[in-house]
Amino acid sequence: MQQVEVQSLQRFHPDYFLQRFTSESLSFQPGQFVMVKPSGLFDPFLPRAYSILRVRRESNRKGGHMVEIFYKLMGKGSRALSRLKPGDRVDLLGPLGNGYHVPPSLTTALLVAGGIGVPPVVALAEMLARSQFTLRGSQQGKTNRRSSDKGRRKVVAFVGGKTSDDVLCLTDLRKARAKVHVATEDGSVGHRGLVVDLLEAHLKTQTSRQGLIIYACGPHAMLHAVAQIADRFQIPCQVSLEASMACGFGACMGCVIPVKQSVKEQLAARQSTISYKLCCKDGPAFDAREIAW
Amino acid sequence: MGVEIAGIPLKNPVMTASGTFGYGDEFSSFFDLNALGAIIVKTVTMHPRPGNAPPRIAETPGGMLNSIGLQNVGIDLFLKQKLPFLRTLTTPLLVNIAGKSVEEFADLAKRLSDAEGVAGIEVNISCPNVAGGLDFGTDPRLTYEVVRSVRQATPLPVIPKLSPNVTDVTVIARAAADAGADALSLINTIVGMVIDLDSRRPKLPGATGGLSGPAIRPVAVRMVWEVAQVVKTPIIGIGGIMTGNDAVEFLLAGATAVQVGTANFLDPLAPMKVLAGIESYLTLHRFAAVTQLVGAAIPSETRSKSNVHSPRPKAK
Repeated sequence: MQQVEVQSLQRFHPDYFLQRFTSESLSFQPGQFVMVKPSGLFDPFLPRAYSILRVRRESNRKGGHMVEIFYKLMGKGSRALSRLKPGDRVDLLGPLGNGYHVPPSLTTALLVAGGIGVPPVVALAEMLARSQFTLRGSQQGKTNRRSSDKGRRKVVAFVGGKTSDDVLCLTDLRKARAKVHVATEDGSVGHRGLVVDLLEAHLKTQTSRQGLIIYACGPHAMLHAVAQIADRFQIPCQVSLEASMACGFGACMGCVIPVKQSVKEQLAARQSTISYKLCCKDGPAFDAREIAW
Repeated sequence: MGVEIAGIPLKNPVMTASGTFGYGDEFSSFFDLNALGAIIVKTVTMHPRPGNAPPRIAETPGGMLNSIGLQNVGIDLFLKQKLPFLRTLTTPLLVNIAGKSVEEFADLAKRLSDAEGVAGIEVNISCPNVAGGLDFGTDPRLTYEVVRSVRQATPLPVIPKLSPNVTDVTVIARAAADAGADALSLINTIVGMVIDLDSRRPKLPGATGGLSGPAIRPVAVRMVWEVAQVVKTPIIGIGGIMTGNDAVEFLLAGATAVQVGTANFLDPLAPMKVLAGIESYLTLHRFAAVTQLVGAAIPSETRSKSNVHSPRPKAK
């Protein structure tokens, strides 16, 4: 755990916040998270898990970095963070968990985000954009050569929310050269309806499913719907889940996710057919087929 | 900083509480586990247990409720998969066990005595989150039976973990001591409940959970204090220890050692910070040994009845 300082806090109407912390150098996989809590306070008592939006090098400090999280005002934990001023201290542990897996075979990433589920998919879009930048700048390295053989990876993002206030980070996604499709439930911007409808419509127009992978984060019901669509179109799908947790690194065993059990496991368990995985340590990014929705 | 508890020499009095430290491996990337006084691992049962349905955690003022439900891999896999790593440590390992019957407690103790690398057994007669989990720890007759049968089943030190969910903890403590307990761990979590105002239902699916964290510390300190005055058995104090000063409170109340629990969730380095905090207290107040603190808060006339013989700090 490191004690870090709040560097800045930016509010997006009505209750979304982008918060930056000064930090030691920190490398992360998109989908990984940090546990964050104002230092020295016991109320809120527990740290909260936040997906890492990005880590950037700080321009005015030697070797310093900034960790960015993006969150919605939900309860005690987020409220306490949103009240901090630049310079206030925060306990930060991470990066933790397993992020999205990007196999070399990926040609098109289909990102699906609902509401405040957007940070990990933005992180992924930015990572994919960066890796392509590196490959053009450098002629060396095994990974680069392999990627250049495959050509440019396409990123298509489907972002949904209740209203136009809840579709977030669109500029960041476009900057990362993602093609962005938007849906809102009230129709205030983009398609009127659910983001999963856009995903489904898009998949129907695709002639080849080679190299496609769906990466999703958002409300549980949305993720379930995405998983069903992925199943129907036979496309690999990774979902980033959340659960109430105390520690974030596998000690409290509080954040369990029900998963499907193999026959072997069912025999070994003797008494029960329920099986759980830890959201923090086995996830938060899971293969959608694993989850007992 | 050395203490001896249940015949086990410890390099310092700081242990990790069962259920908050996994099987140790989760923490090995954060600090050197050999710096701990002892490690107590997550409760092991005869058969694997999937644990309770989520959500399992609810935050409370100054603490948290948990209802994990003794999720664990079972004794077979524990011995095969978890023990080999723990055996590589020099820190004594105490294994916490929970049985469904007096016989199952004894069987588990026997299996562990045959395994190499187990220094002692903590007997969980106080889990509030499984059916019947509290029965053994809230009835002095059952406490006596369980502890005696474990005592007879193993040559290893036997340390019952007592429940605070009783009218008079000293009655249970006496029963455990009479049955041959080598030390007593207290306290386990306090049964509590949080209701969600939106759904108007309890936040945890099983309605209740075990309360831990600094919110319960005064209750735990009081119980250690009470038990220290009625039994000669050494006590391991547990309950919301976040800092070295918190640990010192337990030692002064009569505990010989302490366990750090919920604090591990907030900061994986918590046990090391608690240890450093105890050391600075000793230095600041010029105590030569941590054992001098044990029971020092108990008035001498009461203290003489028990085994607590710690001298008062010398006048400076």
